[in-house]
Amino acid sequence: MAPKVDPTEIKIIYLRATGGEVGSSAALAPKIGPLGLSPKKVGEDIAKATGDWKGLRVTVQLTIQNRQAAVSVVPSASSMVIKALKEPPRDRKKEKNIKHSGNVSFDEIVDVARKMAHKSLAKNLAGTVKEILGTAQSVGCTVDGKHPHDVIEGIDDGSVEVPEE
Amino acid sequence: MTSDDDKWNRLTAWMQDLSQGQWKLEDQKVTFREVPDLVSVGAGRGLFATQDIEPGSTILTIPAVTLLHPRNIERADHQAQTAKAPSPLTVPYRMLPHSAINKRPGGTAMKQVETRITTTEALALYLSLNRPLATQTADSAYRPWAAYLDALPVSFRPWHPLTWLVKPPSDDANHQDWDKMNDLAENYLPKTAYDKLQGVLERYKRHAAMLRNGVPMVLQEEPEEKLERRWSQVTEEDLLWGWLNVNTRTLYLQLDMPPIPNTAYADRSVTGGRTRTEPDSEQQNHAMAPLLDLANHSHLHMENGYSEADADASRRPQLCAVHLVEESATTSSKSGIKSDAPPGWRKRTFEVSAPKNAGIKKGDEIVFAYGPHSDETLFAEYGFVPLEGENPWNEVVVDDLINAAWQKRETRTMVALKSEVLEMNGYLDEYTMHAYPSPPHPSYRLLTALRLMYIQVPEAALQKYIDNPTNKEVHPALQAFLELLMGALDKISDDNEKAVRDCIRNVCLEALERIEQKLTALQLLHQPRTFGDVADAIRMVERLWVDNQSIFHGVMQSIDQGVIF
Repeated sequence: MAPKVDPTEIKIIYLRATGGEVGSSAALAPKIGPLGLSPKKVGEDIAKATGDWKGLRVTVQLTIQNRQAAVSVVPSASSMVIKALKEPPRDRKKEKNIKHSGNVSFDEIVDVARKMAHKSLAKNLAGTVKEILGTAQSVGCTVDGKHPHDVIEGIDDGSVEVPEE
Repeated sequence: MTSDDDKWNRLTAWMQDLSQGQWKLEDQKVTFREVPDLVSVGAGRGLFATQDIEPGSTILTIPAVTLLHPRNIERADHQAQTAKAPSPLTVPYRMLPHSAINKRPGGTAMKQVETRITTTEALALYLSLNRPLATQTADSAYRPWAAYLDALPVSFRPWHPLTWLVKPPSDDANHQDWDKMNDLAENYLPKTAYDKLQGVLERYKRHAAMLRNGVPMVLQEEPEEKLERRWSQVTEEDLLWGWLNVNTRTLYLQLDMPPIPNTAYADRSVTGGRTRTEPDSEQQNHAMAPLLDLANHSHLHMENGYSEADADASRRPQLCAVHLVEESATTSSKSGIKSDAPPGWRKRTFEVSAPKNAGIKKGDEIVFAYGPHSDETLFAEYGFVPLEGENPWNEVVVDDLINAAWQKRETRTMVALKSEVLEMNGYLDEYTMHAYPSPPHPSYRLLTALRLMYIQVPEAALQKYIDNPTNKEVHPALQAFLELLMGALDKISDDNEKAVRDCIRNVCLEALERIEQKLTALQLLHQPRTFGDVADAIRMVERLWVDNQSIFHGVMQSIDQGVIF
């Protein structure tokens, strides 16, 4: 039976990968091998698709249709905040327990919030910005030199302004 | 004005009426006409843009109330009752897939027997009962979808390959040529395409038997004279026509159908041997969509569409997107019928939009991808083969060739043991080769199976692993294979890899030889006539072989060029 445009024919797999690196196919092989896809090829495709996120951990979505996989990066707040820190690429194998102690400008946080707005449950952009600031806090960076939570309080008492959209 | 124009006008007027004016033809950016024979022979009719369309903008919407599916059929029946219209020829309520009648306490003895049928069967039944040609002679009945039914193909003979396997009645116009078509299907199709077609035939037979047994059973319990009379006139041809319309035209639509439990249909003699092995989503959640089902299939990178905008055909047709959307409440919720169904399905419908990255020019054909199907699936299910071998989802299945090569090489016990190992890890069968994404390549399943085939492991070691897969003491060769499965290794050894590649090359050579023979035989069939239905059918079968040939050629070339898979 073949109803047209049947979404059940499409398989979606999510996995975490380090941007720009061809990782070990151990995570991929048992999942996609039986579907007829070569773990090595897909691993290379993932490295290509995540080139903009060099050295950062990102969530990758594999959309598999009839033994072909399309790779896309699922933007996540923490990945985007860390990307905004513009840290030099690191070798994750050599450096462990990486701290993200840099600084991000508030405008960049608002940019991230705009990109994440479709996922956010907040009523307005200010709410989403506060969510992203929370992520920044957990990442460990500062925003315009201040602790992210201070900026959240600033938004609450009106001393920090967030654009409408 | 041709009769096709007339059908189009009546169909769109009916859609406008039924949506109470919410849907207007002027808002839709399409018209319907013959696809010129310039590029694609026998594509029939298609939808074309009536104006330039911006990237991402909506081209066509379908009112939810016009979709033909069991829930809407029930709603239309209620409406007929309320309006005191002549009762429609319809699917008895207790047969509808969402019927709750069997759950009602105090029902008759029949409540013990499952009488519900799937959406596929219910639609096929509805269409066969209301087949336009037949009902013109029958007594007048209320036919809510008359305008749509009249616009459906008059017949699937002789172009749909399923009809090549089902003998027409002796008074049918196609009776004369049927033997040739049947011979073509039985003796000239690639085996995998034939198997797929047989699968379609089996499904059709199962569903038809279900209706042949189920309808009289329900009628016996709840006699209805009009339905009984009509049912007695429904021929095998009507059922086939109804079923093929469902199989070739429906689109996936989530209808929130309740599952029919596994325990249903315990008495197989009553129900045509039906068991619930078919996945529900495929059999239950789909609908026929007027207008939208006139659009032809295409896939990315195809060059066989036609555009008026440029006669040199250098511009490729843009693939439109079909979305499932929720209709705003006004058009579909006015029926006033209380239903225990969740309200969601009432609003669900389809919308076609232009691709996000490219606009559509006036006169371009509106096409969308039916699904990621191989040529053989498109052939067996929908009855066409895309031109030029550009289908990015095309594949050849080589199970037979690989298994034959395997049996030649190893003992029966060894093949069985290694098959078991493949099965345990999810790699047994479905060995395929593909042309896309380039370079042409064997699938990973095929490579994995062959790598196992070419390792030397004693039978006892395989048996030990099968008995206890968690045992850490494994024969080194088998250990290497298991590490390959886990992604720790890319290959077992250079020798193993070479043997695998040689085997694939030999399989390709053997297949190409067979294809040459078949193509020569098909050319001989061509000799007596070069036009007409039989010739079209032969061309379609030829195209299947040629597309397979190009995949085998490509894979062989990749091997010769040393491409690493």
